[in-house]
Amino acid sequence: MISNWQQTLNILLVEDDKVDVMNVKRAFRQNNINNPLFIASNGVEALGMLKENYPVVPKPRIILLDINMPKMNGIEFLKTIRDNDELKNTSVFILTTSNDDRDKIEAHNLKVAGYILKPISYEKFLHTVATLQSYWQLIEIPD
Amino acid sequence: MSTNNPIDAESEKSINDEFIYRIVHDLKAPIRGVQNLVQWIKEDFDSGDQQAILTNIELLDYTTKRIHLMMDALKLYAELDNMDDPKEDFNPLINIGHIISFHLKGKQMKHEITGDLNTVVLPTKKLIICLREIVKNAIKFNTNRHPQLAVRVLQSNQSITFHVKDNGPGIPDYIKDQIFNFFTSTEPKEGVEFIGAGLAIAHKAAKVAQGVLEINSNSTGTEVKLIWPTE
Repeated sequence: MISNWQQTLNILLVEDDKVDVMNVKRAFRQNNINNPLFIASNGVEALGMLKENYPVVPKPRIILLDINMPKMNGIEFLKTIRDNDELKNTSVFILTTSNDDRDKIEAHNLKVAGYILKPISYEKFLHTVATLQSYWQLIEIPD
Repeated sequence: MSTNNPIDAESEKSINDEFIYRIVHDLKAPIRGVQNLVQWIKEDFDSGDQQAILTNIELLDYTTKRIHLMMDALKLYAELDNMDDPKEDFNPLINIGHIISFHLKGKQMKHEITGDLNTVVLPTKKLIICLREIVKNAIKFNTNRHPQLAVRVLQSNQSITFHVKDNGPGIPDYIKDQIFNFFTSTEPKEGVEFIGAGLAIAHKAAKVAQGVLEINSNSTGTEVKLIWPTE
């Protein structure tokens, strides 16, 4: 059975690594997360999916965002959506391998909902996604 | 490169530490990918999902190839410092012509080599490595419908200068200050070819030979200037 929050809440994954995309898809499946999951391989593509002309309907209210991507990296994408009135309240969770303090500080200055380091093992990643799911079910996310 | 100045030694150590941190960080991603794929193949084997197994095996194949390429590039980068590099004949028309032909691989691209094309005698190994990476980039990333490559060679008593100019899309602004960093690429991580090591290797080869490598790039193309000492 698909719950109400799963029916209405689109999730956008912005990630250029194919294996990491599969990581998220499998972890969602194994945690019974049935929310529509949309994939963009960089910030430019993600903006295209969010803005008015080529929208993902309804607009994703949660974004899982990698940092190191070509064309437009995660931090640049985050700056762009925080400057946009329609997109600035989107909940963004950084999902990255970067343990660099500069990236963490910059992301938090841009009001991320969470900064998550991609775990080494798949089991730990499953657990991370399960924790995220519990959090998403608990919180109120603005439209 | 060793130094007796403690401040230089300290900043050199810091640069090396940052380099090692970045390399380890970039290598971890595909290695993590391999670990995950092996686990998924085991899970899909248990559940009998043949299609998923085949997909994961293909991904495993390309990920391990990518790791090989990354390690080969690192090895070459490390070898540049102490590379045996005897003096040999270098003919710009022949040597650069070979590099261009090899990397065109059937791609249609107008190209020319002009300037001072006399044979010179100089250490050629690092020079050819450097030119190879510059030409490879100029060919690979040129998405112009009518791609062109122009190489001009100028010789003086002390050096030989190469101008390698293409009419490709240019290097994007967001990456310009990182182009000599290892594993920095404008392409997504799914490509086996585009590991982002070529210009880092070219830059180091030039530096070790006490040459100069400069890049000017905009939306109409990229020009690489390489000055290589002949003395």
